Amino acid sequence: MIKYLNRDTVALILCLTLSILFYFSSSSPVVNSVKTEISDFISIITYPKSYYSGLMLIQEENSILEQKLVRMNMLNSQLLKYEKENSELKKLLNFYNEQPWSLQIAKVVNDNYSFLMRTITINLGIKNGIETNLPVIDINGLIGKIEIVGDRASNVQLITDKNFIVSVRVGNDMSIGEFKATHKKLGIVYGVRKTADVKVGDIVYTSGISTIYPDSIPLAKVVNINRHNDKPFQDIEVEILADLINFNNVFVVL
Amino acid sequence: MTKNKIYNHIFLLFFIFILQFYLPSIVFSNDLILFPDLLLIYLVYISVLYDKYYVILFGFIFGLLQDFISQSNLLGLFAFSKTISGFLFGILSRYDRVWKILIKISFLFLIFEIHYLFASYLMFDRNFTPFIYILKVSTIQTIFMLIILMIVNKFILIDNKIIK
Repeated sequence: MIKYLNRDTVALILCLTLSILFYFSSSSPVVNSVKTEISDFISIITYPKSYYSGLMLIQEENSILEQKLVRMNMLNSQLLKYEKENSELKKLLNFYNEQPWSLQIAKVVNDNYSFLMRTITINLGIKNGIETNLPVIDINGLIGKIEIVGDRASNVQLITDKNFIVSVRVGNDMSIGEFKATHKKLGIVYGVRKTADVKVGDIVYTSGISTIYPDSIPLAKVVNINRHNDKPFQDIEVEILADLINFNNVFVVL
Repeated sequence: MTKNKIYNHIFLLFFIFILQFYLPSIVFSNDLILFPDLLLIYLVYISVLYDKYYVILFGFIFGLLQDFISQSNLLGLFAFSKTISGFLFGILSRYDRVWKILIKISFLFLIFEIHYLFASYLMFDRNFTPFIYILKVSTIQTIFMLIILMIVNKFILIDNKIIK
């Protein structure tokens, strides 16, 4: 670099620098217009750099915003879950206050579906005053009964279990029959006389004859009636009212 | 440079300054006034006699003097344009024996054009003066100055002719 700086070049650079210094020291509007044009020119030259820097900045901001969006989405879904839970708990509370029985709320902690036995596990046990054979209900109706009691948890035998039979009343004249689950949410009430006034849509309640279940717990709804058989009783097909798929909170009737 | 030569140049410069001061400008059109720049002619003459280094320095000094006389509010304007011209005249003198007359005249035209382009660009406010006007003024002034240079070269310079 230095070897190219001969006497002529140094003189040229020096003289031009002095001239420029003299020129730009003036406050004339002409000089200002030249300054403006030089600034414009420099801004055009440096535009790609500033544009690229802006892009990088936007990319960085975008990444931060994406992270924020994920966090907000998570928070939002959590809030939605809380809202739903709150609504469910309110329903449970209303149900709890309306019932004549003494109830204890329990949370379902496990489902055990096997070929023969259908049970759930709740988070109440002996320490909470739970005993065997206490009925378990949800806000729609009967779910089952306590089968095995542990210190802090209990197993509930569901009404869909093949070994589960309940004495029930159905129809306008509250005829007595027996309920037994068949498949899925369906069951059958048998032992009801053909003369009994039963219609499709009637609700089936527990009879209260059994020592286990108090009377008038809703259990199922009549969906089909068959009186054309060679037996003295009519076949009443019913659908279970309780939600046996999405277990969450249940009540133990004390 | 010997002392005598320096004195001769100072005397000549002084004479040119006086002449420049009294020379009338030519009104070319309503918006264009041509003025004979004798200092630029003198700079061309110096480039024939001396090294590029001296021509650059003389260009700067002449330009600065011209600035002081013509427009002191834009000091450095002619100093800048004449320094560049001095540098280019130095190139011209280096190839004095190589280039043909036509190339020399073309190069002189180019130098004058650059000189007046810079001078006009730095002199006029671009908010009121379009660049096309600057180009027009500088080109007409260049042609005018080239004619004067030819006259001086033909009739005044005897020994050290700029264009031989």
